Amino acid sequence: MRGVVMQPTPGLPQPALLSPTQGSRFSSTEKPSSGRRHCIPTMSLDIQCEQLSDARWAELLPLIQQYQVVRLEDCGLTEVRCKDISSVLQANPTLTELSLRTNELGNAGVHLVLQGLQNSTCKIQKLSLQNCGLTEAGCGVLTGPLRSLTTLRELHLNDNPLGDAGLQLLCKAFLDPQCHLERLQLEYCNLTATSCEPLATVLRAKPDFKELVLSNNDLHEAGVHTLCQGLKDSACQLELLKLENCGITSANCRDLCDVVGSKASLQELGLGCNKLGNAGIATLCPGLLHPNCRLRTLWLWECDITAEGCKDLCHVLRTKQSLKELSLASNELGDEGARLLCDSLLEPGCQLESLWVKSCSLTAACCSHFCSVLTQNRSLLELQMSNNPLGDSGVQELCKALGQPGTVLRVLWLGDCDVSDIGCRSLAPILLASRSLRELDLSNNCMGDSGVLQLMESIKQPSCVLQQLVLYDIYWSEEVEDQLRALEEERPSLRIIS
Amino acid sequence: MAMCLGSLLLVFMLGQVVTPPTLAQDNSRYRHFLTQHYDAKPKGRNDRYCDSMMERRGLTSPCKDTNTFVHGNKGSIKAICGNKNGNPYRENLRISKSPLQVTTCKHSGGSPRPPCRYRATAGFRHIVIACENSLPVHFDESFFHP
Repeated sequence: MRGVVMQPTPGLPQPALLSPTQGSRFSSTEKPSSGRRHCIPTMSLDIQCEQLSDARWAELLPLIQQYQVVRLEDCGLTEVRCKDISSVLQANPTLTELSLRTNELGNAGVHLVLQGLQNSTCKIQKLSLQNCGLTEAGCGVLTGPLRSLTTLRELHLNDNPLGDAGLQLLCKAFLDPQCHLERLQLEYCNLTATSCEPLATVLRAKPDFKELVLSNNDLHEAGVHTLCQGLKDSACQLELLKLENCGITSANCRDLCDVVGSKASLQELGLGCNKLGNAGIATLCPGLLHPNCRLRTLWLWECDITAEGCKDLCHVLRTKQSLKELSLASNELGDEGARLLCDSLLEPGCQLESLWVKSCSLTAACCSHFCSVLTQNRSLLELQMSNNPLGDSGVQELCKALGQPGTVLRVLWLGDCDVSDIGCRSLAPILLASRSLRELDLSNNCMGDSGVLQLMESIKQPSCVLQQLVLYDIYWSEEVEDQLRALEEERPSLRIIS
Repeated sequence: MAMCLGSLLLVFMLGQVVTPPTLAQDNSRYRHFLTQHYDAKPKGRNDRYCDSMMERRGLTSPCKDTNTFVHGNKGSIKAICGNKNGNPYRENLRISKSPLQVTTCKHSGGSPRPPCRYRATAGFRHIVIACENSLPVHFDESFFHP
């Protein structure tokens, strides 16, 4: 039976018990710890998007009291239930991770939860209060409890309208000598440049800081400058920095260049949705090229970059072996920019594994260059080319390479690429021939019954190694629908998502 | 009022529930359409609305690129399948006679990996759907580009 498909979350224990009446996932799984002979049970309660009745809540409370990991996200929890939560938290000695993301707890509810944690013997490490209705007014009373959570390493406060004043209050807790917070997420918290000095102060004071996410706050040029100063002054071994949609300008790239060139620990840098422009990229690249820089993931989506900016980035691509993931989505790269990227991907120094070039104004003309990459490159595992007018001819070109025995590409995104039944005719044999392709996205294309049937002919073969086929927003008839459902039952290892 | 996945998951869990084939045949595509494209009374048709609705309706693994939620009375959508509120459109689609309140969620971000963030565009416009057995089974997202 098709429909909504529950994807197993990577890294989480697979659900051992699926409650059919509720559809929630709660598992108590045994997983052996490496190097030890006995198994260590990891008790994890994981419920998303489910209204919990009073009866169900009564069932869950004892579990919340016992489990190590508790995630109750978007479950309609309010301040009322926080009293219960607070009580059971106090009685839970093993809790290490708690998420109450997307519940209207409000200031009072959040306070109750934190008090519960404060009075608990548990060693809480990771806490998410994302989108819990915490406002500026609620921040003052939290500093006491936050200070006391000496084992807390990771805190998510995204999507709470803290404002600058609220954050300033919280920073008092972050500065406390007892506070050993390492990872802090503050996306969409209504912060402005004013928040950057207190945050810079925290960075300077806390050499253990590893992760800072401030995306979607109007920090602007001055704020980003202040923040970068803090980062440069700080001894912290920052691993992750995300400043997407913060109003960063090309002038800030001078500072960012310095940060990137000095923090050898930095693995992931998010600068997406900022008007860096080609000039900003040119300024940033020397930092990226610095021997100290061992960046793994670079987000430069929607940054006003064109082919000109690609030239500079290509130096990085060709030589930075640490770089594994690059997003240039929603930049007007054009076929010329694509060609430059492909040339770099042919260099042995390029070890990129994922390239995201969605909505980059690419056409069929660049596909031959991607073919060379697909045929010769042995590192690239994922290529996203969705929302580019490649057309059937572009897809046909790509298929020439995809079917080659030596190709290693595992994941290919061709959503909204003007693929019709004709394109499917080229893709179908590839799905059978390829030994590497595991996931294919063909959502929002103009194929119909004929195209889908051709694809199905291939994927129904036991020798086809495809594991996931995404077909959102394609219209097929009732007959094809029936055949797809039958196919899903025949091949349970293949997920067809629509 | 949040419309959560809860009871709908009962029906849609892959291989978990056995349903008599005739019942499934009649309605399952329509119910799937409603899960993906219908939200009667939306609470704030903004980016945050999109973020949570897309997750609640199971459209974030991977992040579905574009998705429209239609609001109001679902009878108005059903009526597009007939002459009451619909006209033929292109080969096998139907276009609404009257505009409807809709919110289109467009994925914004560097990759299709969760967590998925969306940009909302609230509107009042004509929609294009496909019908089978007089029931909506498909929403044409390409008709309107926010």
